[in-house]
Amino acid sequence: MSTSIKRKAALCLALVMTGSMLSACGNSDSGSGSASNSNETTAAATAADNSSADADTALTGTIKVLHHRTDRDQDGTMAKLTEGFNALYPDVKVEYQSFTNYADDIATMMQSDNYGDVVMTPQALKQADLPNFFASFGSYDELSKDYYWLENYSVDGSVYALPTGGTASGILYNKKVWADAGITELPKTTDEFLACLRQIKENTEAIPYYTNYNAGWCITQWQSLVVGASGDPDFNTKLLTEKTDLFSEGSAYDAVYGTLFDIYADPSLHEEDPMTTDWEGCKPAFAQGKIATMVLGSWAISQFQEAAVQVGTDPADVGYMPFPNSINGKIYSVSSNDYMMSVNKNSANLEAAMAYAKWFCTDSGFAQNEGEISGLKGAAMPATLSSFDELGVELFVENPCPDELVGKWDEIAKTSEVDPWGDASTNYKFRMAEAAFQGKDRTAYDEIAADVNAAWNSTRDSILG
Amino acid sequence: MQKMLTVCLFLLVPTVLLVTFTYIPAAEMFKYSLEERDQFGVNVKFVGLENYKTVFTTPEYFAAFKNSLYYLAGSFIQLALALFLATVLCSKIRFGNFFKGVLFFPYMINTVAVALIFRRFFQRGDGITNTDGTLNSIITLLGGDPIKFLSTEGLVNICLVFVSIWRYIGFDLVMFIGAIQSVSPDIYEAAELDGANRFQVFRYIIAPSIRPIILLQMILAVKGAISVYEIPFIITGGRFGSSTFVIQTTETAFKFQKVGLASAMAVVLFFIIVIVTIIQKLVFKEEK
Repeated sequence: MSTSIKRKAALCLALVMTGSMLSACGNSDSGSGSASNSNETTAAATAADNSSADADTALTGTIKVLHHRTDRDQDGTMAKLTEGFNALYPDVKVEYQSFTNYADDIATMMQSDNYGDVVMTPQALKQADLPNFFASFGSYDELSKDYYWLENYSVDGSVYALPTGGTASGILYNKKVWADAGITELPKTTDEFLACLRQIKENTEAIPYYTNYNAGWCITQWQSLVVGASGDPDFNTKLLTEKTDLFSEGSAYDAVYGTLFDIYADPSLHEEDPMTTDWEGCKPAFAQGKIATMVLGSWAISQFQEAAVQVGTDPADVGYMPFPNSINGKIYSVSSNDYMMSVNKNSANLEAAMAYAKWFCTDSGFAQNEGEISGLKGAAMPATLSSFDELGVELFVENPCPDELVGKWDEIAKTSEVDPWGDASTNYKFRMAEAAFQGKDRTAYDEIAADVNAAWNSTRDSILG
Repeated sequence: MQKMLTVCLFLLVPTVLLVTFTYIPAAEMFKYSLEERDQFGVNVKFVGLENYKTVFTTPEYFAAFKNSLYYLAGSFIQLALALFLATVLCSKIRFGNFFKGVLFFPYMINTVAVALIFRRFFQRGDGITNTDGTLNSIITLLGGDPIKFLSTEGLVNICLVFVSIWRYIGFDLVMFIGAIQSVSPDIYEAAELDGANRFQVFRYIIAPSIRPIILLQMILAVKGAISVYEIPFIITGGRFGSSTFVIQTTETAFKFQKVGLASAMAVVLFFIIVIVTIIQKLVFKEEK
């Protein structure tokens, strides 16, 4: 696929949002059962059959779809999608409107009743407020048989958003550079991971780890590793029920951010000046083997492969591995949803809008084309994650949290301003990174960790009682 | 009657714009500051002065004003520099208009573009994915060691203040030039005949006659220093200790979803500026 400069810019912005979008997914202790890599093709087939059978060719009207993928509007992907939809519903006219600053723009539009017919569900909206804005797709009990990640988008047993796709958490690496450095086996522990980075520094010309620190959202990608590093689908719920500290010796947070601190604190392991990095520029640099490793969600794989094609290197060198925190010898990774899709409850063509959203999330093939994990239970894993199979990684989905705790995690995160998914300039991730960049030692890390624990714990106790 | 109607009609458009885009939002913001609300405005709760209490009892919010001191110092350097340049440009020098244009030009560039230019200007390259920026190239050429300007605490604020001076000096300059040129040329001529030198002309003729403009610019400078926003926001995002009160306000509203609290912060900022302006007015009045 070729990429114009204009589109790259749009893509970058879309990604910034993908980054922040990922933020909501881990938030509220969600997930529906365990998703392994094995294919339950029957369930997917059933879901597909259902939606096709529901097709009501008599539907008419014009619907407006608001979304964040400006790049896909520009390259005609969306228009092509409409053709597929119109094959089933010939009399429904679909219009698209995309926003580079989607998350803020949609929030502003939702102050009125006029926010399109079908929208990408805004991440900042509280779960309990969903019914104020969106129409229900049906009961959770029914729909959760077919779709992942509905827990965070259900209120009183009704579902208000369907998944457009999802991503796995892990680390992007350049296979060729890693092999050139003489690494034959992927790391199984964080210490091995650090040793690999040092080996890359010694044996190759590449920058072992690229922080991309200037693009503030890049560091939030580390947060997506946390639940995977815990290996526990109930990790976030337990933070509330067992009232454990976020940071303690050997906790998932400690494993992830301790590694971050160690890498950032060693000037030989990352780029020279973290404040003048460039997200768009890092893609070709990675493809050319100038950068060895970056922590990014699996959504990034396809973009780096596109960059490889552009600069004429082998896209197959773009490798993806889980965060190497072995628990009893096994490595885990968590999958979480990308933007979800909802229908404006004030829509004049509610049925057509519903039909479109269901079709988009079920039959459009959008997630597959983007290299994302399908939101449909049992659909095949994308080829981009093939390395997970090879490593025997267990990819899981978070379990739903008990009803009485719905929204509490988010509330604690925002009220305490600890905001694990956030990228405010006061966030602990930035504080840790900057302490590391300035060459401070682990005591600085411990102090920040203690601050985080104190802020989180006192807010948690005042909210949960 | 006819005249009255014309005046009203002409006033209608700006008044409507002003009310719609300034007074109504400001009033709404004041209302928000008494509420607990998120970005979507659902489940709004009236909390009275609770938000103000939070603002005044959280020292972190006011710590950001420490960075305003950098900008305040910078804005006085900027004023002095602008005054100097304006005086020079108003004397008979060659290409005067050309230099006026050159110095005013940065003020017309969009702040985002300015930020991008200076990010490149201050860049420290790693030689693998990017190269040194303009400033570090010059330093290397002169035999010095390149510096990480934007990722060194303290230094980053000085760099940002420099950008700010570069960006806004044109405005000060135009104001001063306008004021200096409004002084009657006869006075200059008389001074020249009496044998006054350049400095005396400035000290006894220019400075007293443009005093109101200098005062106005100083008030604007303080206001600007307290409410710095876009340059640090775009270049550093407030990292490496370059955050300001306004950056914190927007983050409170849009990253922590505390729109009520952020509105209270904005109202507090508004009153701080009003108070500073009043104090300044009083101080300079007494001097007379």
